[in-house]
Amino acid sequence: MAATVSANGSQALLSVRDVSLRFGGLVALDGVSFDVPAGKILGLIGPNGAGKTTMFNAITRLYRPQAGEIWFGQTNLLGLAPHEIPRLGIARTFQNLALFPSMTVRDNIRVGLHASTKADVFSQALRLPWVGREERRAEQVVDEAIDYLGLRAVERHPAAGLPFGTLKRIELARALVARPKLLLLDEPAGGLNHEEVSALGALIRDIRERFDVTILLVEHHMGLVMSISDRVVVLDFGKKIAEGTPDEVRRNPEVIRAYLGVEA
Amino acid sequence: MLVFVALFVVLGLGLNVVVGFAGLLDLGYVAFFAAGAYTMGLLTSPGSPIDAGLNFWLILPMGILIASAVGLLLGLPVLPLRGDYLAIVTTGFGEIIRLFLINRDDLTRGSQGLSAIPRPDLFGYRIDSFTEWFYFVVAAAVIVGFCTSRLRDSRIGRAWEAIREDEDVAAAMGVNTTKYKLLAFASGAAIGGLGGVIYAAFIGFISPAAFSLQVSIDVLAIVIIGGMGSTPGVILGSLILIGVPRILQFRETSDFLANLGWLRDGLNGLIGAVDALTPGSIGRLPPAETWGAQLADDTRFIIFGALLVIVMVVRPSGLWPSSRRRLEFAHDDAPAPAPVTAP
Repeated sequence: MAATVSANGSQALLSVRDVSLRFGGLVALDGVSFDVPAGKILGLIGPNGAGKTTMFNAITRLYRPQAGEIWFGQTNLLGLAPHEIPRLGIARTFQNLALFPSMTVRDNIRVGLHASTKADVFSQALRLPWVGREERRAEQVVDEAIDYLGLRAVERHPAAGLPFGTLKRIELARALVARPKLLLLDEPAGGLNHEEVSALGALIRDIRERFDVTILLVEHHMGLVMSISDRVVVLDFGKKIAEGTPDEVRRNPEVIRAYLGVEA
Repeated sequence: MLVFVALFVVLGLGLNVVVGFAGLLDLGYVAFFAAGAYTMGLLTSPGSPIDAGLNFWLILPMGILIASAVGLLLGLPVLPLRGDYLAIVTTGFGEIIRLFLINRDDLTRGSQGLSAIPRPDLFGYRIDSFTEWFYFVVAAAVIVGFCTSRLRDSRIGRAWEAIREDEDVAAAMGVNTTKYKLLAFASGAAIGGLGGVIYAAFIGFISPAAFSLQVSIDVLAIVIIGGMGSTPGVILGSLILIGVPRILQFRETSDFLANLGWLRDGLNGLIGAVDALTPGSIGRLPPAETWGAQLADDTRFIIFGALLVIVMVVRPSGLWPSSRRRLEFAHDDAPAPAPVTAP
């Protein structure tokens, strides 16, 4: 079974079906279903603790849901190990930044290429010719990403100690070098100031065009989500409470209640 | 002595893959060294029950393969362990191998050891003198050093480094952490096995006593003192850790110390002053004619230990840290480059 056609008829790249996940007695996700249409930006929002990041971690298999299916094309992701996910063309960034602190910026980005290169230990130790060619291609991709995200000045610097906004862009570069089909962004605007957020919005839209990538975005910054998302899914206490265009969601009484609390 | 320095460079380079690159604290490294040495010993010593009289050059790849198999054997059960726990289990593993060698005396001749292991030929020429051995082992070290530094600057080296820094994130980047940890154990073990085969052929006699925990600790100390992850660091570390204790052992060293009468007088004066304050707290230095010999002999490990402590206090990242490690220890004082704004 592969749910590749979503309700509105467009092709779904990622299809989440009835996913439930509990930590002990705590229900983090409760029968959540939604589709990410190919080529679109889908915003995933909800109050703190709604299960947004948990959903990300379920998709990238850092967590194992107790029930449900997550289809990426014809593949059920829940049957895979975490390291097999990037090979399919899914890349992500992390909410709390997950860079390798003592590696240089350039090496951090190079790790993003791990899944799309294949040199093994023997050909690498002997430096066979095809390994050299693969490395040169990889270096080119890394260089493009560094220029695109304006990281040239810091490329030889270790990641530790760099400003927060720069670290965010390094994570983005690391995800982009893998040339993913689906990009998962976990709170890319977290910790950024006002100008940086509006630059980020433009950047995310540009990334979609330039890299022809589908984007699933978890974000607290409402202005950003509403301005760049094609569709928005709202989670509250692990349940999906609304889905639609940004305008529909903004007017949805359930959503207003979840964010502002019940009227007295 | 220099042959041993070079041999420990080989071992250090191997352990450097496991500890320096992948960050897996392995205190049982001697097991792989022993696996290589016993492959050579068992197949060539006339005293061995399975003596096959094989050629050194045939045994070399076999020893490497067997040692990496032993590496996988160790790697599999310790996969989920990290840090201190890993160190404890690997220590135990090294001891198990040593006890196995003692107790399976029907195969290994136990603590009697295996003797008369033949020396290798190179194009019909027997490698015999210390000088020849030195060049031979140095050649091996150069080849190993070339391979390991190639590996470090590759996707494999970066995958190891990513695991060292954060295993979960490494997996999220597509690194098969199980595979790469096993690969680190196996590559490190292969190099240890290579060192073992060479050691057995050089020494000509092996017994379990030569494969004690002390060897693992020495090799680990070489890696740490030199600077984790650094190839020149391993060479420097081996020169100091294997070379210095032996230099202190030399007759010349004790003669040299015997000539430093003023140092002895000075120290005695100091001791006298302390003694005057707290009577009977410390004794005197040995008499002038023997103190050099005694210092070089009895106290050489004290001098050596003090040197190591000083090195680690003064240069916590090692004598010759890898460029990345250097950054790791230096980034606190270096001003971060100005933030770059998003395009």
